[in-house]
Amino acid sequence: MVNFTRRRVIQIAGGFALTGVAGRWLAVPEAFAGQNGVPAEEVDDFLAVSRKLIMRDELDGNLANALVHASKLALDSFTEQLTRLKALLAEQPALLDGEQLDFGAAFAAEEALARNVLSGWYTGVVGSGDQAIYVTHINALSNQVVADKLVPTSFSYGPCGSWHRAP
Amino acid sequence: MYIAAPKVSDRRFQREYVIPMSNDKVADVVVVGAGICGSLLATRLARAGRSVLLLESGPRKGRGELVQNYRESAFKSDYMAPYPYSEMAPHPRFSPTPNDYLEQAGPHAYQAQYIRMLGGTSWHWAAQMWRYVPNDFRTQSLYGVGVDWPISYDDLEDYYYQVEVITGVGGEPDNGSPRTKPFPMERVPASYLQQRVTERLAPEYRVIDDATARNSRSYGGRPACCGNNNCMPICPIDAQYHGGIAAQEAEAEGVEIVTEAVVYRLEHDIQGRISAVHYYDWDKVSHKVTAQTVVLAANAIETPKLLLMSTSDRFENGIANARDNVGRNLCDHPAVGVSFDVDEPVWPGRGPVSPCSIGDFRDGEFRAEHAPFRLDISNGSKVASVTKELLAEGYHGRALEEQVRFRSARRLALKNAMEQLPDPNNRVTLSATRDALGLPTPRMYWDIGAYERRGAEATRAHYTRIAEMLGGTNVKHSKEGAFSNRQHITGTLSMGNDPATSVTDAWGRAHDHENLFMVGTGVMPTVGTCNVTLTAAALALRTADRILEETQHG
Repeated sequence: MVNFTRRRVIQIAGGFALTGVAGRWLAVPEAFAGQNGVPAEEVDDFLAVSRKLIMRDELDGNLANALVHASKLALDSFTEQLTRLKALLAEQPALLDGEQLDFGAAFAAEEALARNVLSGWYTGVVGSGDQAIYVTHINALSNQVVADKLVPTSFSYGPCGSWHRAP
Repeated sequence: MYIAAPKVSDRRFQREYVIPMSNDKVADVVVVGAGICGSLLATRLARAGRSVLLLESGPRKGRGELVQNYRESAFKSDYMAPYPYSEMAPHPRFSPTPNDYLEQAGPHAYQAQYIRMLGGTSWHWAAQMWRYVPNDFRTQSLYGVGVDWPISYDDLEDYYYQVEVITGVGGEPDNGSPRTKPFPMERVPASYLQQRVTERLAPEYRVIDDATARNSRSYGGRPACCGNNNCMPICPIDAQYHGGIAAQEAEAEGVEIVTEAVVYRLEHDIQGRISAVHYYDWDKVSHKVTAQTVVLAANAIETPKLLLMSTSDRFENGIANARDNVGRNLCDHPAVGVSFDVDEPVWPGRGPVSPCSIGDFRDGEFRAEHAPFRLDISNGSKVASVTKELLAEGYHGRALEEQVRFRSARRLALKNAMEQLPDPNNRVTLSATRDALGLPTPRMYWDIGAYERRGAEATRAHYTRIAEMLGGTNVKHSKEGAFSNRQHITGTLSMGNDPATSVTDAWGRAHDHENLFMVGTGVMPTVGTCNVTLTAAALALRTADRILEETQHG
């Protein structure tokens, strides 16, 4: 079993961020999947929770794998919290009926993890401050959501002035 | 006690007959600081046949590595994050946690974001290359505020143009700064955002193209901008000029560059001339440089720091500081901002990050009453910031994605560049803290006066009006009473005719040290209402010409 360090997670993620064309969804290389010691069941749980929070059925499994690995490094008791969050959403699906998360004080820890899961997918960064781990840039869902109008920062729009026309 | 300089005045003699110790170097001119100003000056001197040694405290890094650092950074909104950091040549650092390199002693934190690295701070900039307006040089005479410069706009006009040619500047010609020659670069086409904002604010407000050193065509061996929207913290393709390019050009012209060379002391002779420059390498081995002329170009905080560190029995308050002016009169653009959601999608993030502004309030009789300002309109992508905002609000699912699109398409942000009057109490001094080489770190005192606060009130009134004209909702002004600095650090080495109130003369020469010159934004006595790099660079070339003129028979 390969146990990647925090730095290695960054290198892996950076690798696929840098290998593609701006604005296009790039699959995380499958070669990395399953090489970081993250149990497949944990990735499955993460994907199950993520699908409910994001309301998308199609989520990239390899990116999920990288997010789980980063979360285990950056977030305390991630695995246990993930199990509890999965159970909570199964038992009380109505918690996600509103547009904004509000699990109440009794489930503050689960809500915090839900926000972290969303943050990982949409910003490409897991954790904060000293614990922040970069996972991806162009594959962050926030960039994908606007991909028909904007390319991720640092990538090109094309010839000079191609941004002149209405997007 | 001062240390006598070697009694060598002829540089040819120095070169041919003085055998330096192994750690020593000799040059006609030694320049401390390899940012855009130091590098441009060094290039000009080398091109005229002078031997030039350029000392840079930080390391040498390439653009590719920096771009990769940006893309892999967890802190993309921190413009300092992609740049290398070393305890050997520390600079302000803000993530993951602030290093508090600048000790804050005043009522407002002065959070300078300068880079100690070959090329300096203009690695992360929006390539803004504005000229001052002519009246900026005479505010005391015209409006009874601030100070007059010892030179006029006309003295700089040709130098402005020279720098514009070197760096490839384009923009709106009718911007309040008269020109005798057209811009050397055609302007970069306006983004859709700029077009819509320009149309909707006209004629009440006139939105114009910024003056920027950004290629709209291949120029200087560099490509045209392709709109990566990453001018800050780093242009991935060098479509905009910066100090790293200037340093490369200096080296190509024969300038000897030594990086990781932290200058810690200036030595003087009995006449007060600078006889040697001492620096540590990153192993803390000391080296000595002798030169006919010494130029300090280490930015408006690090240069005062070096002067204040260089004490002797004769100059007990430091070099060039006999009248306690070094480090005083720190000015910047104390900024207030606003953001709101326009009532139509304008999609900021396409093209350069800072392409246009409103310059209607840069000059006028009102300057007697309140600070003038320019209003910068951001075209930086808002995707990351609105996503964080929405996640903090707890959005999830389809609503989250709808809101990411909605706010990313409509979010508009403005920030002002407001002139701050020189105040001797605003200053750089030395803190009691020592860095890894045992050198003191800077201590900052920064306050905002009534003149600027009135300017901020006037600015906010325009923000409110502009938001109204653009159908803005979710209008958020920056916190009342809070001011951010714009990284336009000026005044700490002010030039002037009177040694009692200035550090340098009209050529950037230290009043009490004949062979010591300073370049960079610190020599600028007032900050005006525009980004300061062009003026500093123009002054640097003017200083270079002065040095050449004075030493041509040396």
